[in-house]
Amino acid sequence: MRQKLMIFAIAMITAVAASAQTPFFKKCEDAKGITTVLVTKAMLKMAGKMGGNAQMDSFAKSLVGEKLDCVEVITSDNAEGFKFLSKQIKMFDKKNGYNMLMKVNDDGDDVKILSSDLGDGKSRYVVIAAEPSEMSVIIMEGTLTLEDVTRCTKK
Amino acid sequence: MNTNDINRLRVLLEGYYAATLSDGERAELRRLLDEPEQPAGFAPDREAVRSLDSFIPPEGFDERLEAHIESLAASGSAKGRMRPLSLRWQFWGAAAAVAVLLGVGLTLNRPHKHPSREMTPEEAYAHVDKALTIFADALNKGYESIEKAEDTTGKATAKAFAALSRLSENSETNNSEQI
Repeated sequence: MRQKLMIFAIAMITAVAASAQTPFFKKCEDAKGITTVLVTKAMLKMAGKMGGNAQMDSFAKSLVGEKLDCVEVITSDNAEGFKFLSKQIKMFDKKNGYNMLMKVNDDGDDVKILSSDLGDGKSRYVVIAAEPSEMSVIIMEGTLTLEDVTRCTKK
Repeated sequence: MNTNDINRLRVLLEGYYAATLSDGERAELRRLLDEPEQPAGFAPDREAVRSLDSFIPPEGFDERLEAHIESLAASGSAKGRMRPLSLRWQFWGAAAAVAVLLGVGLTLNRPHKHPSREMTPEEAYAHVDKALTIFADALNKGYESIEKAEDTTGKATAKAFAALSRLSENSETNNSEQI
């Protein structure tokens, strides 16, 4: 019986871990010329409880530890990675439930902010920051708002 | 029993225990063992041969057994003896297979660059902080652009109003001069 329970526990943990990543991240993590960083909820909670860091005020700690469920950072390392990301970011469209919140073109730097409603008061924010030869895609999930993000980084 | 007979008996006994004797040799062995004058050392062999002879299967037994096994295999009787697994065991078997497949999939597809389980909370915070900073910078750029646009629109509107008022003043002056 213990072995059966163990099999089910492994299957459940695996399923939860697999579902924690966005489809975009899954596509990027094995691609060449791409660096991916996934910070899970468990790690965010630990980071939120982290003490003795002068950079983090109490609001930032609560944001990281309570309002964020997942953070994914995907960056291109070279031209190949840039090309790959340029192709893949097309999946953040209306058909897949993403709405454009902001699009800024500032002297060659193209920045887009998109959001998708995940239900239960949760949202997924996607920030695409593209320079002529580099690209970063940041995906954040949780109950955070745009106001939270602005407030959190005002130091 | 002479020396030759004794030597022959020894050879035949070896062959008997190794099961390599022909029917004729076995008959010769029995005959030699039944001779009244033989060394006492052969008595146990004589008893063993007599006992084993009583267990010899009837003639044609091997062939009949082989034929029976072949007929069972051909009719599928042997297959019929396999009991199907119960539903419960089928379920657990399927669950185990799924778990193994998921495990293999996870191992092959796991993030190979900076997975969170290899990070310290400090490193995780650094990544989140950087991500939040990029996010906030993007927002600020957007807000600044909106402010700039509002400022430019405000200035343009003010200029337009000033031009209109100048035009209005000029037309009033012209009208009074004509009067």
